[in-house]
Amino acid sequence: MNRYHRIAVCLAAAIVLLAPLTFSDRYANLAIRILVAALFATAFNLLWRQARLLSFGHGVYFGAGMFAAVHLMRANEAGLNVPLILVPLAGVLSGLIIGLLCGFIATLRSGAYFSMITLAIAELIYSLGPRWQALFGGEAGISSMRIPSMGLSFAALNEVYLIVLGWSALGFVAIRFFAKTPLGQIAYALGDNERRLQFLGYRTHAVKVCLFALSAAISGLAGGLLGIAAENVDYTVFGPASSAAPVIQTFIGGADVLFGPAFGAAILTGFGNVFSDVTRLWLLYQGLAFVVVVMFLPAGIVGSLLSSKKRPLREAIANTLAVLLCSASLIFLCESASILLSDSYASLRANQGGSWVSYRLFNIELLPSSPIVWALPLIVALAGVLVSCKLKRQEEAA
Amino acid sequence: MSAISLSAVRKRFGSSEIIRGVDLEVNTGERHALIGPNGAGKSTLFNLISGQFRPTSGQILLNGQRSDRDPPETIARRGLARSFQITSLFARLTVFETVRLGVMANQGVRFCFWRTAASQREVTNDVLALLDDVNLSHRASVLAAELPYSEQRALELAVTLALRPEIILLDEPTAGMSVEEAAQTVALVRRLTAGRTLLVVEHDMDVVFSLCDRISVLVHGQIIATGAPDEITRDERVNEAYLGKGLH
Repeated sequence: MNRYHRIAVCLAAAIVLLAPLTFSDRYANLAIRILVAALFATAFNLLWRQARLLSFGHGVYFGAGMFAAVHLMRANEAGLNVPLILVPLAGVLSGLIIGLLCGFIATLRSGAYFSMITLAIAELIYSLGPRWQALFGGEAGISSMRIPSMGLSFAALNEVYLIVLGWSALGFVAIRFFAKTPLGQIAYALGDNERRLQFLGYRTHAVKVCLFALSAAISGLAGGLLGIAAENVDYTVFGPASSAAPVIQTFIGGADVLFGPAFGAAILTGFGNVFSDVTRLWLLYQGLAFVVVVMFLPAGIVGSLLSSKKRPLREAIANTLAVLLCSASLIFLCESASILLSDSYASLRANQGGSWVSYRLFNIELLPSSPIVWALPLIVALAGVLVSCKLKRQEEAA
Repeated sequence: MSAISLSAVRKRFGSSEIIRGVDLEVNTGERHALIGPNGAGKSTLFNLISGQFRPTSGQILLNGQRSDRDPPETIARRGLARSFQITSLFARLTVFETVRLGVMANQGVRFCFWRTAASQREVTNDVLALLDDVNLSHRASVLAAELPYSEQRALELAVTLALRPEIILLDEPTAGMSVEEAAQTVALVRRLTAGRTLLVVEHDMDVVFSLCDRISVLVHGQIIATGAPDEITRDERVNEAYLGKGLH
């Protein structure tokens, strides 16, 4: 990359990152959620990329940060007067403290046992949630309002976006810098060979606790940022879904690349927001994408792109085409199935005396009994498979 | 005072006793070899001394201090470093970064997260000197896992020495090497361990006799003889149990 390329990339990044300042609440909110998810996934991946510790309970530290931020905002309403820009620090602090405690216990073991302990801690907190009314606010959760500070009203989300952008940037820089410090290097070595590291005189448990606490603190920061944007939080943030999100995003994006998880988080959050309006099956597609990526692109999307730089462009286009054709056909089949198997369609058919009735999908009228409705997607999928097979044969020949 | 001193050390795994009452004195500054047939318990003894296992009974002293209840990292900090028989390094680290881990441990740069590792000049200089010592300077930026076997052994040695240990345990440093490579490694070990205490497990008798001041013979979990190389070659029990087969 020469200097002009670099300047162009920086400019483009600046435009993309600053654009949400002009957005309406709906899209500023989406931009905030994307940044928060990206920071959370990157913080989660500190543990996996470096030390090969796979946490299944990071929702706890994210949730802790969110609750801490909202509690602090409530204190602000009661007259504490901490400027909004500093409120996410409450998330950092609570993530750090809870991370130290839980990390100390979880990192006593490695591998699958570590994962199980983190999972158990998350379940524990999740079940505690609805019972501890004072702290978690029960089923309804707790809410608060942003109070104007530093000359800004923070009524619109694009003003909050500015705070989120600043703190996320700081979080990313911290994670990037950490990898280059002695402790970051030691964490890398720990992921490769913990035993050997002990014989060099390193207390590996202490290294793991530090790493866990840092990861939890930045997860708490991400939670705190969402807290000031959402202005409310309930105990479901400790649920399995929020712990699973960074895992899925990380592996789809690319776990061994620094910004792979952020990329995965950005596309999944972005697509999720857009598609959840169009289809009810978004979670199904996300799950399928996860399976496909883990099976065929174990390095993740960013990881595969980086390692396949030398491959010819034609091949990349053919691969993308194959994936697009197959997934288009799959999406059509899934959507059709979800309509045809629904109760409302069954009653519609019953009204018509059991004969096939047409249904609407993507604004097209389709009749299930007509062969073309099924033949066309089949042909499209077949075309995708053919492209992929031809490519594979060429690769083998070369 | 002995650098390493074992008295009546026993180690039992389940129902089988691998180490059956070992007494061993390794004097400060000497090069001591531990030989014996396969399965005699040499590696187990190494693991006991370096803290990977705890003895079932008996005492181990390092420089006169009891050490048999300490974890490996404490023993390493007391100045004992070991290499491994099966090369076991860090797959995702380069040669330079691997040696730097040892140097950082030695210089006490451990829980530092406010400056980059690359900015620490003293550490970097030390790493470069060590790489030069083991002839790996030209390989500094290669991943450790991509080195050929003999260079991995040299790297293993460099990491071990980076700790500036008083006592060094080497587990078969020339295993799997050609005759020339083994000779080079012996010269390297002799040069780099000057003035330190060395305990080495080795199968190659040429290496043992050319490198070491004293030899102990371990058979079935017991030391049957200790002495200078010529005493050991003359010892009948040793010849019967081991050397007779080993030398010819």
